[in-house]
Amino acid sequence: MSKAGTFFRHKAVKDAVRVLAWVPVGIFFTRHVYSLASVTGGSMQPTFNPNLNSSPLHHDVVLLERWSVAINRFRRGDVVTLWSPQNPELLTTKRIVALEGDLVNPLPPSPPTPIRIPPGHCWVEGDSKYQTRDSNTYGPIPLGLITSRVAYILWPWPRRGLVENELPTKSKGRVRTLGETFLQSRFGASLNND
Amino acid sequence: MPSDLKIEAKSSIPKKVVVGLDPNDPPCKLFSITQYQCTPLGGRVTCWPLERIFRQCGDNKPSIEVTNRLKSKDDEALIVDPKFIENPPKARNWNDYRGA
Amino acid sequence: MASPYFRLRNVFSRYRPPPLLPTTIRTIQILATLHLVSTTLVELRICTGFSMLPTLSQHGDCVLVSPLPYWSPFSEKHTRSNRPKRGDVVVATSPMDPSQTVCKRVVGIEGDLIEIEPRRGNQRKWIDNAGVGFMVDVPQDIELEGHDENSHISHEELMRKPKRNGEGQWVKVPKGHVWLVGDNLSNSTDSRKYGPVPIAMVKGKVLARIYPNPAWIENNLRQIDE
Repeated sequence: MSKAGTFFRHKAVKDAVRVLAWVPVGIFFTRHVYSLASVTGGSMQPTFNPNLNSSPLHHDVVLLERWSVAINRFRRGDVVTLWSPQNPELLTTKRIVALEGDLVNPLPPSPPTPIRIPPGHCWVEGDSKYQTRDSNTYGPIPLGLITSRVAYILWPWPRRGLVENELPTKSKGRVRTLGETFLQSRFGASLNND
Repeated sequence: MPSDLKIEAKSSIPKKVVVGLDPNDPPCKLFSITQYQCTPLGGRVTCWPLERIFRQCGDNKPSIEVTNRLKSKDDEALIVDPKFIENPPKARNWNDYRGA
Repeated sequence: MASPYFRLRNVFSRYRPPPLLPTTIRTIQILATLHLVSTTLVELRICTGFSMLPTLSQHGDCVLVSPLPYWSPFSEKHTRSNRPKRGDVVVATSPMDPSQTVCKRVVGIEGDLIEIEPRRGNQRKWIDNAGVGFMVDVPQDIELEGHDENSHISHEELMRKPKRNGEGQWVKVPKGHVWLVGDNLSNSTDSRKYGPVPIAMVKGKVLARIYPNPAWIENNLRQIDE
């Protein structure tokens, strides 16, 4: 008993506990507020990693906004990270092109019949003009798979800046917005237009 | 008959051949998951069990639901309809059932 | 030195309320620790609704849920042993509304061929004493008494309902997905409606009911021996 008492009276231990007490707060912050990540792969070119072929080891470092997903706010044009529906251990990055109620004309390998997005789902696509593994392959995805919104490019320095909320040419014109007229899904009920 | 011989025969012969009428023909086994049908009657909820039966040929192999393809309902003799084993249903992807 | 009055005044003048900033910091740290524990180790949750009768009651059972059984610390997995198993009761994000969670049983895993609607038999219409009619979902081999002196139901009307959606139709559960069905097949919105659910939506395994009637929630899969 007294051993434990003297242990905790050491200044080093006290300092360690003082630091450790912040760890859960830090974890909460990176899970629900903001975190950092690097984007691998070229499915979102030229938005991320535009020079992947010439410099395959250089990956963009981005700021992930997690609070908007925590309050279930999703908008068309958002670039998001999501768990792949085909592989639950793989995190991918794509852009939300359509929300529930919208009508989408898919690209190959999906058959060309228009698809209506069911409730609680969205349609994601890679920005790259080449074929990417996205909703055109696996169909609409549940919003519950989305973990964050990619908000800002931090590195490389010349390309730093906000990630634009703009549909690429590949996706424009193939979506009929029949769902919510506002740019956010109804789940973000407490928010007004942002 | 040695069971290894049967397994080898299975893999080299095209699917249509019936490998015995015994549904528990090793390594195929049956397992069940119990669910229920519940109804509110007279202010109380009554639940009747529904045994869902699945056939699985080997550990870590996919299973197939045979709940409504059993020839006999007694626990004494659970026999899967051999026609079902020979001709498994054309299982579609979910998207093929629910259109746009 | 003092009269009791001065001593009392001294006591009160020395009293300071707990300083605001350290208390706030402590509170934040404690809340964050609790949140971390509940999302990585165990948490208590309420599962309401009719969909898991009779396993869980409709009034809202408090259950113990843990993400640990399905936690894979390394992203490269050759064994894939930490996936939901057939028969597990799990908590998952609702595919129809990301702000809701659902409690359902895993009936199929990837590769399985599941019959979408295994129920058979007609639904019958009951009319109770108040004249209200409702459809009764009863297994086909059960006969319900029409004229029971002690029954609260005044009379029944037999009506044939057409086949349910999904009878005699098998679906293949795709890679990375599970097929979730509520134990109460008569009153559950589950994979029969929204299809196979991606594994990443499964947030944890329901281990036990804490209140009322504490009990382990069983994985009721059992082998059938000849």
